[in-house]
Amino acid sequence: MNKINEDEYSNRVIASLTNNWQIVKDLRFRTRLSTDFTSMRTESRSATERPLAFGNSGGFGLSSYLSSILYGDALLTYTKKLNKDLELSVMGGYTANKEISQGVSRSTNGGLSTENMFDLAASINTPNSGSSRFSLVKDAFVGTVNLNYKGYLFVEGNVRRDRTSTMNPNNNSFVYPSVNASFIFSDAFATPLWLSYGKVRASWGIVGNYPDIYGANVAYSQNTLGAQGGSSVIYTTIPTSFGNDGIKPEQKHEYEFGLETKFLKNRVTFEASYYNGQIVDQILPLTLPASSGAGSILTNIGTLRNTGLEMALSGIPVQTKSLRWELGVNVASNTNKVEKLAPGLTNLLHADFDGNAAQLLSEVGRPMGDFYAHPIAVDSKGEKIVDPNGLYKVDPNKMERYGNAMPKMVGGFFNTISYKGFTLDAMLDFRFGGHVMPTGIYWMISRGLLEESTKFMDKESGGLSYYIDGTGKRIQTSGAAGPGGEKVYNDGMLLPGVKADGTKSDYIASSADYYWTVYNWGGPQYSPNTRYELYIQKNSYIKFRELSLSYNIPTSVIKHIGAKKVQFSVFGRNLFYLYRTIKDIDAEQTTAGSRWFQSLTNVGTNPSTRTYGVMLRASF
Amino acid sequence: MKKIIIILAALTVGFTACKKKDFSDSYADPSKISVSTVEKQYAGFLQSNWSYVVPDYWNYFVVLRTTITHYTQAVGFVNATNQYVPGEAGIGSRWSSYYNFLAQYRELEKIYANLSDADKALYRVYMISAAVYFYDHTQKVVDLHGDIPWSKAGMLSANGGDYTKSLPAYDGAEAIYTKMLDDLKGFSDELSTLTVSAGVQTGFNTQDIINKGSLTMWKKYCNSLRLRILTRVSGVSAFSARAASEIAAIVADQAKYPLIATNADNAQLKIYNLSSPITANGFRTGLEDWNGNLAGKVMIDHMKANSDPRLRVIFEPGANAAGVYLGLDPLLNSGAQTNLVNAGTLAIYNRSTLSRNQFFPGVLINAAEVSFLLSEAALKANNLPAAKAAYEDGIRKSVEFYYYLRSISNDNTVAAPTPATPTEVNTYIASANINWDNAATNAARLNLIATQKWIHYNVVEPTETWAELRRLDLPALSFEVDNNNAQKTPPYRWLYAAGEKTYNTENYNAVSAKDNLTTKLFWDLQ
Repeated sequence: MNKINEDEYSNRVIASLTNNWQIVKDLRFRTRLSTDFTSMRTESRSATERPLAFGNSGGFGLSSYLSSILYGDALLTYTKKLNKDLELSVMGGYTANKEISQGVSRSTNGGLSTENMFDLAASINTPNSGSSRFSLVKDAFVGTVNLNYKGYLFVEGNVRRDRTSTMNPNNNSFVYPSVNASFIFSDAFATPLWLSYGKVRASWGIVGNYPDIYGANVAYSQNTLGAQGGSSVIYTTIPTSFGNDGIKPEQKHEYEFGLETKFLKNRVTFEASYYNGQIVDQILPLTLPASSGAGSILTNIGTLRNTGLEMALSGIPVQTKSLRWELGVNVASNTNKVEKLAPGLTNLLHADFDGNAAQLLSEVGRPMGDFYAHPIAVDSKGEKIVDPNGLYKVDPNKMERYGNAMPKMVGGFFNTISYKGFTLDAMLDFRFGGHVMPTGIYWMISRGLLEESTKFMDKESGGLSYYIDGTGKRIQTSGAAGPGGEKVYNDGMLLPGVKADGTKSDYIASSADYYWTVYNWGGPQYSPNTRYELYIQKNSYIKFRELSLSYNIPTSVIKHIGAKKVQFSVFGRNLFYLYRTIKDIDAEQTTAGSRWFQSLTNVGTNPSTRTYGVMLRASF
Repeated sequence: MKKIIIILAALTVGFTACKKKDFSDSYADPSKISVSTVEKQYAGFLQSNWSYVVPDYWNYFVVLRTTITHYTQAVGFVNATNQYVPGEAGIGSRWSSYYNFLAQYRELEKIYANLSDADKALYRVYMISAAVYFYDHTQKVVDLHGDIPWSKAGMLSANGGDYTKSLPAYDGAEAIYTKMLDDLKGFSDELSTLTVSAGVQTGFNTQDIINKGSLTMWKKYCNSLRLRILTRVSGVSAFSARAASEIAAIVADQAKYPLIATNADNAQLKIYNLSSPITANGFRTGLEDWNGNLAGKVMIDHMKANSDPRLRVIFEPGANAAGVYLGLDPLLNSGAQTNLVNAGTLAIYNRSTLSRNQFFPGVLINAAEVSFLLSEAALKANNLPAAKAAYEDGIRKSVEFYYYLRSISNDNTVAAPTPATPTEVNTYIASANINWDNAATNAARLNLIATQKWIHYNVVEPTETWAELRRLDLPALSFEVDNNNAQKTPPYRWLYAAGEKTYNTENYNAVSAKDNLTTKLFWDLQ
């Protein structure tokens, strides 16, 4: 009977009108107006779950949603050949964008009054209702000057002035410049025969980024409690996620150099680029303690810099009429660094895991995403402290760095061999460096689901023998029973270390308790022997991403059935690892969100999949 | 042709070009407003923590089930490892709710501070009643944690969003108590002479969702709250003289300082309309899920042995118990306990009176507890006849209160019990273990009062019952000792919410030495 159903109907219309007007010989004017309109309605039904005599259940809800985007631009272009070698073009224009959306929804409240009657009329109490709407306005003036010398040297300069409604109206207009140049040196000079193509490019520019819609404004929410024994009670509240009317736009200043070359009649290609970008006044919500009066506030949180190098090399070692072999490799390495943080911040906390068990944070002068956890407590001589339960005590007052989330290098290899109609594709991915915290694996160990937790489970696995005396203390023994006839267990572990008083520890842990406790949930306040520093692991791997074999049936065969192309293939994706540092899960299983700091633990994520398939693709 | 193109082009530009006004119109969310009033922010403040006043799912299932109802044996609980360490899910959510409530209060203060002096005088009643309500909930949070950020807390809006200035220092628990007692005494005097203009009163009648604009009811709430706070600290040497004299002054002048004397006076957040946001609809899953509504053995045995007239209205027998009330023994091992739970013979909280009663009010302070507090005060002052009268009066009002709760229920899963007759109540009061005159010492008398308060509070006023149990250690309860964990018995306080340690580290460090489960509240002297 537990039937839940949701239907969605969506309609979309996109229209566009473009006008071109050649005013005089070198001057052109273009205008464009376009609209994108979506209308959607949904109906959701939950069936009645129990007889009405036992209370009302089930529900019905409907909603409708409208969205429209109106876009327009006007562009004036002037192109002039200044002389035989030099061409100038100047563009000036204006673009504008208005987006509005509106949604309304209603649903039954308190269950359905009649079994499986799917309508608002079946609501027990006054139906719930909700609505949302927003509007967004953006525009920009843009200007560009472009010089083209002999078709191999290009220089361009741009200026744009943005305005956006998501910024405070008193300060919502910003100007950004950019310049770029490229030079095809293989066309400019006589180059050796083995160099078929060569180009260098350079660019510099500033790009702005703004808060989300209505994100900056601080205002009261207003609502009604309905009648509470009298007239309706109208109330206001201040938000728990604070905006910031004084927010500044985020700016990215970036310069980039690139090189593109081809050798040996385009058989070998090499590309490289270097970039250095500084993000100034990055906009992020800053988490606050609840006692400050809000849970977070929108801030210009700091300045960070990304520098990186990307390289790709590919080649075609064999190319004959029937056989072609192509292979290549690409690598990218990015380094980021926090250069400055907002006043009052010594570090930026991205996540606090499991009640202060571990933290992910960024510090000034360091790459983003350092993992911190509590180390084992040590005494004044540096000896590890063992608690009476036989487990290491975790130091609740100290956190140490155990890794950084940023990978050092990522990349891939590809290899394609085609022979007649057959093609064999193989792709490998790799990543080196960068830590993750696959907490889920360790919780599986604590529940005895992984082989790791079978260590020391009995004498054969290295467990010590002990009995439990009257006070609950575990005493090591070699006898078959304790002195008082106590039962002897064989899963003892003796961790090297000292007791709280500095003497050598003889506290015995049981291996079941060891794995249960050391790999459980919680910071030292909740679980003083749980060691999250063990959870932070380097995630490097070389993965066989994809292998496929396909066959194109010859045209002479398929033309009889009127087909242009028929391809048959078998493939496998996410196949296996050639090398990896984390054994028990797929290295990419830690992805839980679109932001980098949401992709570092496997708590609550689904296992990733390996896919095999057979595919037939035909075009007529 | 050319003309048409020009016209079209001009139209396009005209259509799309944005005016300055377009930007400012789209900056603010149209569903929000930039200015509020004392009236609106007052109601916003009062309603902001309703789900911790009216019984609701999150508070009962996540916060209380894992902590207080267990530590007070208000319910029967299956023993588990690490059971005496309160979890962050409960602590963190109750903490955030309180500080959001506090932030709404600071906003009300901010709006009021910007009024003219004349308007300030007109709206004074809003500020007094808001402070009474704020202090009531502040006491509960102080009693859970000890020192908390308070006088400097919730200032983000007042500081114009400057978060660097808004990380609050902690106030000492005793200092907060002192400030609240001083202020409440002032309010008490002020309320006794305060007049409200007709224009302001009309709005206040609507916006005051607690007492519907009744100044008399606010006086009673304010004085009853003073009685509660004074009693809590009456054993602390720095407060004991003050507690004795102020309670005596309240009792002596009931015309000027009236108390909640009947159940009709009870301070509560009443449910008016199940279609409004404030209802007890979440009580059902909150209390019933995962057997959170099992009766504890000590309470059931006490009620059964003495033929407590409240037994049938507060509890119901287990489905397979053939009408016999059985409570879960906390000292059994968890295996035996689980078998009992699965057998369905354990009594549970009466579903029609409590968990499925969607009109269950948010209880703030009621007549029965006022009587028990008065009884203790009289006992301390060696006025035994008055102590006895208040004790018996408290029992009568408690019985009346629980039958009243049943009468407003919209659920009939359990048939309405036969009403308790005055004779039945009198017999109960006269029975051997309940009878005041059978208690020979003041300690025994205090135990009688404490036991009645504990039964009266049960799961309905969890923070109060836990505080009173810690203060008096009465009734004496035994707990299974959790030998495998550092925390072997119920804690003396809650830890601070994890976010405070993380995001307000500097101020947290000043109190971190006290942030453990074994630091007692300053009034916990036993």
